[in-house]
Parts: sequence; C-alpha cells; structure tokens
Amino acid sequence: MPNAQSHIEVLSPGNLLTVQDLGRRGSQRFGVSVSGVLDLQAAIMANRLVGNSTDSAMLEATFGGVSLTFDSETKIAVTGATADLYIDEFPMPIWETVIVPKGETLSVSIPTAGLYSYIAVAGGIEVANVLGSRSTHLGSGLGGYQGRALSQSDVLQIGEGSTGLSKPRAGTTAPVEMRRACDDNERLIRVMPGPQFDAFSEESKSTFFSSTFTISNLTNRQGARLEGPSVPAIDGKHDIVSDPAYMGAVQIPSDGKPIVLLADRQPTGGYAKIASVISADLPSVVQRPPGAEIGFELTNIESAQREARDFVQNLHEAQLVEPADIFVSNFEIAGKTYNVELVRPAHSELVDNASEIVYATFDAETELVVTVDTSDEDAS
Amino acid sequence: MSEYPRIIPANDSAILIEFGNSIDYEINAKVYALQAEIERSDLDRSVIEFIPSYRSLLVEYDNTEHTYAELYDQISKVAESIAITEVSTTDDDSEVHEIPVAYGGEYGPDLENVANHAGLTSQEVIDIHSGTDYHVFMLGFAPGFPYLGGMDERIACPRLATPRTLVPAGSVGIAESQTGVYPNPSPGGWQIIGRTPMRLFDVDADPPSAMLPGTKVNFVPISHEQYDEIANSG
Repeated sequence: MPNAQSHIEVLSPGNLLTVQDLGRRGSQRFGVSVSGVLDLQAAIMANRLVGNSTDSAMLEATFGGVSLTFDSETKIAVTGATADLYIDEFPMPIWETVIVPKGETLSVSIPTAGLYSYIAVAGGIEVANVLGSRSTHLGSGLGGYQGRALSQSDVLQIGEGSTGLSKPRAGTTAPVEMRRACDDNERLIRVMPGPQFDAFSEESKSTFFSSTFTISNLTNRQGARLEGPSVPAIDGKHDIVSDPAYMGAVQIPSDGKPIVLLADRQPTGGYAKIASVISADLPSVVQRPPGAEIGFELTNIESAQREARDFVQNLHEAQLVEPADIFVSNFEIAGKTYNVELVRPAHSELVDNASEIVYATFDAETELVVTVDTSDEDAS
Repeated sequence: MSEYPRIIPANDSAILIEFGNSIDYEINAKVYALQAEIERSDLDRSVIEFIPSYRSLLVEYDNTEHTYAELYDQISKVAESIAITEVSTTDDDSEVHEIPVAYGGEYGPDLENVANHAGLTSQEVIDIHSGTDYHVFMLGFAPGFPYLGGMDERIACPRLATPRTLVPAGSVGIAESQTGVYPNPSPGGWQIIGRTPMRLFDVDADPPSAMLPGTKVNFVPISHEQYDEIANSG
C-alpha cells in the first residue's frame, strides 16, 4: 500500500485539474481567496471512502477527461460528476473505494451528468501547506502544485496517511442519498435574501424568482454565471461600496446577469447581492454544467440553518456501505494456507466475459487487487 | 433609531454588520473596533474568520455550533454600543508603516503622465504622494492588495486607456483619486508612478501582508540606487 515514495503521474489533465482541500481559511482579511473544493459533499465522501481525514488534499477535475498512472498499488475513490471510470480497460464504479494496481492507468471520462469529479487517494495529495491549506487558487497562483493547474507529465507525491490495511476496504460505497447532486437539475435552488435584496424592485425580484436561467459557458471556479432575463437594480445601482463577498452570494452586475460566487471568489466585491444560496444546495449549483437550467426559490435563515446542520451531519456521519458480495475461503499458496476474502466491485459490466477485477484480503492483513478469469474462477 | 448598525445574515454561516454606506474613516474605524471586541470575547471561539471592509464586517462562523439568532443577540449589543461611541480615527499612537518607493523612471513609467494631468512637476507629485499618511481601509481584490484612503485630490488621474498586461510586484499606482500598491505581478490599468523593493505579501510571514487593515502607511522616496540595494539584499 502507499508510502512516502508513492506517486501519481498526470497523463492527461482534461479540461482543468487542480489540487484542492477544504480551502484556505483565516486569510481573507489579507485579500487571500478561500478556494478549495466546489462540491463539498462529493469531496468529503471521496476522502471518507479512502479513509482520509476530510481535510486531506485531493484532485478536482472540471469536466473529466483525466488519465493518471500510479507507481504503487493505491486505494482511491472517484466521486462527483456522473462519469465512466476505468483502470486500464476495466470499467470501475465511482462513489466506491477502488484499488489501482501498481503501474496501471486510472481514467475518468467526460461526465454524462454534473461537472466536477473528485479523485481522492489514501494518504492525500502531498503538496506544500500554504497559509493553512493545500488548495490551488488559480487567480493568485497560491497553493496546490506550484500554484497552478496540473498539466501532462506532472508528478504528484502521495502522503503518508495510509499504510498497510487501511479502512474502509475496497468495494465500500457511499450511501445513495449522498450522490444526488448531479441528478436533481430540476430542483429549484433555495436562497435567502442577500444584503442588497432591497436594492431590487418587486418586479426585479419577481423576475429573479420566476425565471429559469441557463448556466453560461463562462462559468468557472470563481463563479457560476447565469444567462437569462435581466434583473436590474433600482436606478441601476449595481455598484456598491466594496463589501465582503462569500460563498453562494448571488451578485448582479450592471448587465443584470446573476453570478453565484464560488470557491475562487475574491474576498471583497462591489456588486449588489440579491440573494445567498443555502449551503445545502451548493453541490447542486456547482454540478450544473454550462447549458443546464437553474431557478431559485426563497427561504429564510432559520430553515437554511436547519438544512445546513443536517447537511453537515450527513457529510460526516452518513454510513458508508460495506461491500455486500464477500466470498471467504482458504487458499493454499506456496505451501502456506491463507484465509482469503474476495470482494467484487459493485459494478456488473465486464469489459468482456473473460475477466474481472476483484479485491482479495489475505489473513485480514494485506489487501490486493487481482484479476479473475471468470471462465474458470481461478485467481491469477 | 438609527439605520446603523444594520445586522443581517449574509448566508447560513455568515453574519454581516454594516456601520454605514460610504467610504469614511469613522465608519471604517467602527468596523475594526467591532472586530477587536469580538476577538476579545468568548464569541471568538465560534468565529471561522472575519472579512472587514470599508463599512462592514463579515463574521463567518460555525453554524453547527451557533444559530444566527444566538449570534445576533450577542453581536448586536456590542455593535450598538460601538455605533453610538465616537471612535478615534487618528489613532496617534498607532505605528505608521513606512514603504520605501523609488519614483519615476523605469520604476514609475507613468509619473510624467500624472504630473502633466495635474499641471505639476514630477517632483511635486512625489512630494504630495509621499507627504501624507494613508489609511488602509481594507485588503481585497488580490492577496495583500490595500485599499488606501487619504490621497491628495491634486494628483488624481484617470486609469490608463489600455491596461498593461503585466504590472511588476511592488508597483505603486494611482487610479482616479485612489492610490495603491500591487503586491504581486498582475495585469492592471493604474498609472504607475513608482515601485517599492519591499515584499508586501509573503505566505511564510505572519501576518502574510506587510500592510494591515485598519492601520496607516506612508511612502518614503528612495533613489533608484537604494531600490536596487534593498532589492538585491533581500
């Protein structure tokens, strides 16, 4: 299993691949952006599936298309956008603890739903801690891998967090209720009134709450930009005295097009904020890709905080699902008898009908990934 | 009752306290007075971080520990008392942080523009710019970037018609009636009148920013030779 000498090499970074953790906290007063993972739910599930602490650094891929090779057998989990995952040619499940064998290639396809994929590795991604975080902030070139997005041939070191038999075991899955962010595009996003709610007329507010907007191609880690009907402020007063900015703020610049501020936002900003997305609905906002629709409904602080507490509690306490399909047997290998537990990943599609990947735990000590030839049931 | 302090939830884990709606020394001083009061109190344990701005303070807090209603009750008492107190804005005993600046030439390519626009000589622009203490209203926009108040209107100058694609770190600029310093290389449209060899933002320093919100700075003219000496020594 991974040790300090384990590495990941980037074969393809896809559209945008960065190192992120839960963000850089405490330095916004110095003008430093928070950055960090966009979809907190998917990111925390990914870390939990590989037995990391929730603040371990991982990779965030924008619109998939990523290929990585591992120089040691490594436990990983991919969560977030609905995408196809492969180890070499073998299809593997997302939202599940997976072992990548030494020297093999992990690929995440372009998503069929959602936008951001999270790739967590047991031990975390080892980059320098800058002002308390390993997150990359692209705008200021802080943190992550050399302050920038990853490119082909970059080599990342895996942290020492995990050695030997780590929990949870391969084949463990995230509970279904934690995987829905990419599937509920129809749902209205709940917002509270923003600090400049009253800078907008009843007519503008009505436009904001009754319209369907479309996520623009210009959407990025800084903000989700929306196309749709204009939401003018009273007397065109969109510019305000520069004020604190925060996650989920829906600001409306003078072109009348809403922008939902996200992780890479600047700490201060000068546009009127009509609303604030409740934290429990942020995963559903960030996972809507360009072209997807979005609409808003009004809620209040009391309701938002109840939802927030449930959301956070579930992130940390929702039970991971142990693999169901465990086959236990004794095997004799080179004159020694081992107690072996075989676990089949939760997917059922095989590359061909001849072989599949299973995880084997020997004497509850060593976890290995093996390829099984299903035609004669022998482990290779 | 006065409109301020206005206390509202920003999102479900941040509370915003506004002391006014303009760029004003007294309003800004109240923002920092409130931050200091909260830091001194038991409330500080629940604070994730503060974002002070010209006229308001955002307090981001752990919403699994506290509801907005609880925070409101505790913060409103402190904020109300600060709002009606006269807060010192001169703060005479506070240290003025000196920033050495080499004006003009290659370090300040737009100094002559500013002088021409103002109908002054370059030396007069330098004397005016370096003859005042500036108040750091807030940091924002980029790491360590200060929003400074107190520039003499005589040297105000519009931004460049075409922004530069790269302004070197330490560049001191003027845009309209504001002056500021670029802590890091970045694109920018400010009129650049000089450059400081000081490192204004350093992630390994504590605090990382040489200029701190709520404090004062002034610019001390140095020669281009002194600039090179400081830059090379450090």
